[in-house]
Amino acid sequence: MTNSEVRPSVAVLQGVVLVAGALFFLVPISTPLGLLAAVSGIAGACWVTWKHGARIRSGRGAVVGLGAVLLGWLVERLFTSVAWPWSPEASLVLADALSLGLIAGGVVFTVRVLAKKARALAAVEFALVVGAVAHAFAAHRHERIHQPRVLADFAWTNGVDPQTLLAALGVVVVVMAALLLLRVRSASRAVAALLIVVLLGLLALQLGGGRPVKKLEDDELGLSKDDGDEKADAKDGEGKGSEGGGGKGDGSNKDGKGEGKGDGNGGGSGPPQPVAVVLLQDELPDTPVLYFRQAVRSKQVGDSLVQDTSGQLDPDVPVTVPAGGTLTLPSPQSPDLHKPFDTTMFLLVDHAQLPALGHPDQLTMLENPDPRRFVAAYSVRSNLLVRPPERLFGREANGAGFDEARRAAYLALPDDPRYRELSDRIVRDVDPRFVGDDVMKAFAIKQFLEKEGFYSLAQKQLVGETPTANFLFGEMKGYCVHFAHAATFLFRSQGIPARVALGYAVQTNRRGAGSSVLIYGNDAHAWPEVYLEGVGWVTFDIYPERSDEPPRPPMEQELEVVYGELARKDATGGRGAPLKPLELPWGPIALGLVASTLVAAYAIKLGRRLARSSPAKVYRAVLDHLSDAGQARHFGESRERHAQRLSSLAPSFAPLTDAHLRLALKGPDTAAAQTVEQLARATVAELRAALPLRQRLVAALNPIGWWFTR
Amino acid sequence: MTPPDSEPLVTPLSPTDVRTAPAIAAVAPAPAGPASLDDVRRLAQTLRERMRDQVMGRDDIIELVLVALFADGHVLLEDYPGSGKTTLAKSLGHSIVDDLHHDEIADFRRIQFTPDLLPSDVTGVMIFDTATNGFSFRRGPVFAYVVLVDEINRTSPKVQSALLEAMAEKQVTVDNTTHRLDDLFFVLATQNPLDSVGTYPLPMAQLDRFLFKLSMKHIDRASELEVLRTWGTPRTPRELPKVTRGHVVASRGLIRSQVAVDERVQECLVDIARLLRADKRVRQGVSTRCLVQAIPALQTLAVLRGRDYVSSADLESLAPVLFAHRLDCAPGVQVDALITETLRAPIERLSRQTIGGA
Repeated sequence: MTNSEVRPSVAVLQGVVLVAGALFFLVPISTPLGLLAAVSGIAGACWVTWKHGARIRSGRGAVVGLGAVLLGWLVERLFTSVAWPWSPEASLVLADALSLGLIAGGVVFTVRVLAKKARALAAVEFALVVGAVAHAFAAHRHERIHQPRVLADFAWTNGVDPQTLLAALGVVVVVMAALLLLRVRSASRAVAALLIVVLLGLLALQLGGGRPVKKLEDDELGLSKDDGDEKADAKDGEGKGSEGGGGKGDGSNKDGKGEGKGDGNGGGSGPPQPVAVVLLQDELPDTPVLYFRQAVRSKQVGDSLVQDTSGQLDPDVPVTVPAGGTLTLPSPQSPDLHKPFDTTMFLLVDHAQLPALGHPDQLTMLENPDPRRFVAAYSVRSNLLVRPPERLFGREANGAGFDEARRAAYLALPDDPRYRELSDRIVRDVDPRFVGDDVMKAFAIKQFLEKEGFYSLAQKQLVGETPTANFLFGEMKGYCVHFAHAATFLFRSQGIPARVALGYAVQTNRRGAGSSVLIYGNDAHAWPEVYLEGVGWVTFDIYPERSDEPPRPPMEQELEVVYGELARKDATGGRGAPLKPLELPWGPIALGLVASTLVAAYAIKLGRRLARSSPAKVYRAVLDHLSDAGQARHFGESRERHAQRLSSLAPSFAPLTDAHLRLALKGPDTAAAQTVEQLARATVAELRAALPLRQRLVAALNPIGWWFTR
Repeated sequence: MTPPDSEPLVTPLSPTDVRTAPAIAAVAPAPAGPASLDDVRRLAQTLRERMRDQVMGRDDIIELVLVALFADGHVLLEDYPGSGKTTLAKSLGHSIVDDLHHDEIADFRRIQFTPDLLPSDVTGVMIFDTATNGFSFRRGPVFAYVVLVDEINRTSPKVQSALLEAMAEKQVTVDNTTHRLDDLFFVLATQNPLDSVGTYPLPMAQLDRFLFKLSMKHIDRASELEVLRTWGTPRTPRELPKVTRGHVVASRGLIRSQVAVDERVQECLVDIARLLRADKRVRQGVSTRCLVQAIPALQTLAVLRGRDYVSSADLESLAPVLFAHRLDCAPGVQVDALITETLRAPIERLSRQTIGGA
């Protein structure tokens, strides 16, 4: 029966508002197929509630709706946690589509049915739509109005204060939701009311803010346009990212001479490009800088250091990309002083060697969650020093733990006596109490370089035959590579095994509150590492006190968040030790739930079939038979009418109904009770005869037919 | 004054219609009067056959008129001119024989209501009798078993009230003397739904006195063809048994006492009435009198359908004709749809209660 209260046009309008709310909510988190399913689910729910609203009882309708939500959730669990014969991708897509369709449809069905029940409950619907849209802008809380950027960019380019645009959007959303709440009877009136409120809102903005409102009439269109822009932006960014990556990749290649590697691109052209996303799987230790090491240079050739290509010298640094599976590295780091720390890396730019936090001892390649965006994904188990180097005094650093060849390599120096002379001079000045302490010597050298050195990117490259010497014994003006090489040679001249590490140094104060870190191209860095006996390799970075570089521009934290979210879409992206205990066997749980529900349903079905204690129960058993075959009585239909409807299917059902009603409405009667028994048997027999085998089978298997018996 | 038995709008059909003739003999009433509900049913069947013989394609209306007759209510027929209402009333009136042999009470009377009618034209008048040298009461046309009141809304309210008093109280008062009407007194009133210029529409309070308001739709094609075919053909009177007045009155008592009305059915009836009153589209709901009158009507329908208890199907069938004319709805509301919609929840509840549900 059509609900005469709501006209089709209004129903369509309300459906559109609901779909719009859902799209706002789902577009950032769903696949296109999922979106389609959600929209179909909502449309279906709207249609059913509009078309058959009068026949749906609110209580039962709500149960059905919530059941669909639960089913959607179960389906998703089932598809994602049980191995199916088809491909995992198909499973994911199917799960997304099915669950979103069911959940969206169920939620909308529930709220629509409830809204029909009582006007007050329409507020739930209202809240749902407002909440869905508000969620899309939730990032704007704490007055961070520049998020999402697409909207802000759009506003700025059109000369509108984003706050104005957001306020206008808020007005539109509230009006859309109010449209649902008011349940107006005429679509044209609804549209008129909508326009009036929008105009009033604009007027209020004009009067209140006094801001220029330009092109604000486009705000609704602007939404969809922005969506397109966003995608275009993303693609652009990707393109730029790969270009930048190409450049960087050259710098960090094995065959590179090291000259190209520097402290980022300075204040050069354009903003820095992100090169990798790091998901932290644990609480970050309290450290100002995170070092992501990519390569080390420990082999002395002339006046500079190059990477050892023999693979003998630095076995703790991953040289090759593990082709699937896990790469375990021999770690020289002491387990007592190091703490394992898990990260998941998503490279945005191709790297010849994989950067990894701290001192990695295990690398596992992961499936790339989004090959369009990421070059590679892998998880890393790193060792982080739990104690600052200042508290490592007294440790020896003489390379006694290495074999002779490695020790010699780590202590190799250019043939230039000035290194030794300089380092001797430096270590002479240390506190007499620490004379002979290797760590103290290292600190003295570090302090010397920091004090005397001048950080400058103007010094383009290590030039000449002896670039390090030129730097160290000249103006001491250079950047990280110079400092790292100089420090390494100074350490070595004092008998301390040292090497230069290349990679990225990310300042933690730049990071947002999230658990993701974005590495930019200009985070590229080089730093010296020294080897302490009983500790392992320790980072001894040099921070020159003087610099002609302007401070780094603040990085965009939202980009970090966005990339973090993208990376997290991968199911394995959340893989990490701390999360493991939370993983429940959802597949078995879902199967168990379904199975126990089925068993309970069949038990009830059987119980009701066998109950013969009163003629009413006998009659109810017949009704269950009919319900199983899809012939239940409609809501509000009288028993006689129901019986009449089924008279051709089971001719005995009408007299049975009469006998039953006589017993129920006239009073007990033994003869009538017997009649009921006989007619009940006859009806069931007729029903069996009338139904084709297939339908009979379905009826016998139907677990919830009794639920529809009225 | 209109002659009590003026020319009907539709000439009675010729009695040669033999469609149902063979069935009649089998349903002859028990001569001793109704002793059981089965007898009542046979009585009703006789009346039904007699009326069907005269009026074609109106089985549903005949059924409801019989319900009203046995439920001691009156019927308002709303229909177009020439739809056979006089024929219907006449066939009913002539089917009932007077077993009391009142000289003054006719089987059937027809009153055509016109604007110049006076109450005494309906109730009767005191006239001077020269033989006795005193006034004596001359009974009006309401002193009949079956009275057809044609175009009830064409006369002035005072005449309407005179008739309505007679309908409600079964008595007329003339010159401070109250005269009882016959127990069987049954009024079939008609009014034209469209032609309302110069009419006095019945107020809600007076509509409430009619048990049913029936709208007669045009009869179907086959029946209309049948009417044309048999038009004017002389009919040989058929051997149709008649029903006596006493049988009808006795049947009423039998129905009241023997048909069970379960408490849950009564609850259902009251729930429907309350829901209708509570509906915001209804300005004035149904009266308690309506519910009181509804019970015998439901009982009668149950009997006619071969049952001895009232069921939800009876409520479903009678609710529209019982309630529609007693509801004052907001403009634009479809009364029938409103009633059908309101019925659903109480009937659902009643149906569930029969299998032990809540």
